[in-house]
Amino acid sequence: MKKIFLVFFPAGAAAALYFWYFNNANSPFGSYFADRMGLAMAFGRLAGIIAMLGVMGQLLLVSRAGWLEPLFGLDRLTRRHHLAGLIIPLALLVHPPLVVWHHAMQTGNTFLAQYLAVLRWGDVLAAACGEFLIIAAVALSLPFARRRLSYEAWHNAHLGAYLGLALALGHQFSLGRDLSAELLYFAWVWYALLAFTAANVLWYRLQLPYRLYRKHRFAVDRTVMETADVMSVYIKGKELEAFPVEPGQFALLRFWAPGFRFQAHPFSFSAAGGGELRFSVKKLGDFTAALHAGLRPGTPVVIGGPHGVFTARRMVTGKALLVAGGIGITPLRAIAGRLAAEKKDCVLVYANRTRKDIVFEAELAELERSGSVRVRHVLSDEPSWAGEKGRVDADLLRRLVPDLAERDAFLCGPPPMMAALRRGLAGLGVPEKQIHYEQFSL
Amino acid sequence: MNIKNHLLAAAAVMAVLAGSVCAGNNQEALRKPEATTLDNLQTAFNGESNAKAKYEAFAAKAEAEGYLGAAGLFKAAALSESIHAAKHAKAITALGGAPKADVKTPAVKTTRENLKEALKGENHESKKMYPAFLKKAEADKNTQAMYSFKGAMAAEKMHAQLFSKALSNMKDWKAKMKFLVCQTCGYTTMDMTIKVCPVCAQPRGQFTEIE
Repeated sequence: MKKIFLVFFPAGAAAALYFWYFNNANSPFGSYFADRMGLAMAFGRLAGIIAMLGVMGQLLLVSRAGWLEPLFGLDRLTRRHHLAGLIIPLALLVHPPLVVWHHAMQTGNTFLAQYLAVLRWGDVLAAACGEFLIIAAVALSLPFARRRLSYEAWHNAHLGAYLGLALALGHQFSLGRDLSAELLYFAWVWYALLAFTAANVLWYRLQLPYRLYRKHRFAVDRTVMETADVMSVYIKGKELEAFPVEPGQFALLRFWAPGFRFQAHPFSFSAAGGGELRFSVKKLGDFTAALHAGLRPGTPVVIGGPHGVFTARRMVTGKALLVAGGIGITPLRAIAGRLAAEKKDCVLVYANRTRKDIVFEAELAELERSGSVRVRHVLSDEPSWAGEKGRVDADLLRRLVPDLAERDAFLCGPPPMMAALRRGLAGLGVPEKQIHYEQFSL
Repeated sequence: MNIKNHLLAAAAVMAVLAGSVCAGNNQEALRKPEATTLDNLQTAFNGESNAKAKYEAFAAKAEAEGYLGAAGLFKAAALSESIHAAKHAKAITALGGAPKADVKTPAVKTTRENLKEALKGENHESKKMYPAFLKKAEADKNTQAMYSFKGAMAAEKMHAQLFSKALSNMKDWKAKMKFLVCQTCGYTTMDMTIKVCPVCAQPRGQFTEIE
């Protein structure tokens, strides 16, 4: 079944492209590929098709479909999502002028007059608004814009892309040659692709989390402040042993309380087992600040997941090096717990600014006492600290862990630190397959 | 051979050569020069203008004979031909010419005969005239003329199908019928569910309904 799902979308997309070619090579006008006016129409249509396929493909990538995610891991899916996301606005920008130019040549109107005339055609104005929303979602995700935006603003802009797709659909149904052509079976390819995408999104993003909730009745049990700005949320529920979580995974949490229920945010499990789940949340933005201030025991929680392949299952050696920066400790704390239980050789290097910022200090000390886990704290802004000082880089890792090339490295921290460490570890001869990381913020 | 004979022989050769050159010039002068795309556009404009007048007269006759469906078809075809004429006129103007038509009073017979006449004309235009004009416009890389001819050719083909359908069962064409005509290319259809013109991709809103 998984293979059928994997082949379905590429096969449908290939069929849609074939029909595009067939339609344009066999129009009542003859082949649209014969002259530049025809080429403008043919490639204008192609741009529209690519944009539509792109949006549907993006929705599939972020649907967190159970048949897709374990094969690639969410980080690779996310990278593909980012790269493919750049193609969509380009296609959307090219589609209207090419089609309008063709029509302008047909009618003898000026380009501007034709553009305005086309905007009055059925559903085109709505599609133009949809195009704007989709382009805005992509533009606001570009690094320079993303850095300046809160998670909430970025998330809302992304939700706007769904509305954009809905607005553009009418235009495709009423004017899209593949959907309105006299050869109806052309249209069935598009109906099938749309239905497949919608089914995956609805099932994996909406239905599955609510089904999980009905089964487990997750609710906040208690909150515990770990540091001044990190709070652990303990969640209890029914039959939690039937909710399989691998240490290192994350979930999308939707707290069912006023002010929280319209947003699902990703958080790593910092512990799982013993009849409860734990997520540790750092106060970083409006949403997390509101959680710190307002989350009450008893609040129901809708959990989507668990997601991610950033787990000890990925290990190819018998030993591990865990490198955490700040709140990046959360998945690594869970992985360290699993490795300690399995008595596997593990070194945890944990970077923070000051000692007060160390999350789970007591728990980590407890793990160290279990024997197989060594913890090395590195502080960058604590003059009185007797341990390692400065920033975690390749040189420091080589000094602290001389056998690091024989270990699987699990990295979780701020993106610049992760990027530097990935380069540094590769430079120190750690094979690519032994370096594990995951960016779960979509 | 003496000098006199040499001179006579040379004169004879020169006469033959001169004769052949003159004959060549005469053949060149007699051969009809190939029509230009502008000529073809003028021919098409004249044909469409006459077809419009003819179909309007045929529509009136069909209405008088009680063939209301056939009258509607002739009206739709007349509108379509006027759209083609207007497109050809634009292409003529773009080439620096002035559209000229010699519209003659059409010979109106019975509706059956009128349908036969219309079918013959549409078949000629869609199978012979426009393909030849299109070939020349393509050779001249005149995109505007090409699309004007292509649109007309596709519409005339459809007209021929509709006239043929009417001829095959004239009884049914006494009832009122509706037709849609694309305002851009003149495509004519009885399919009222059409969403997009299959010829020029204009939406349903750009069609005129004829009853």
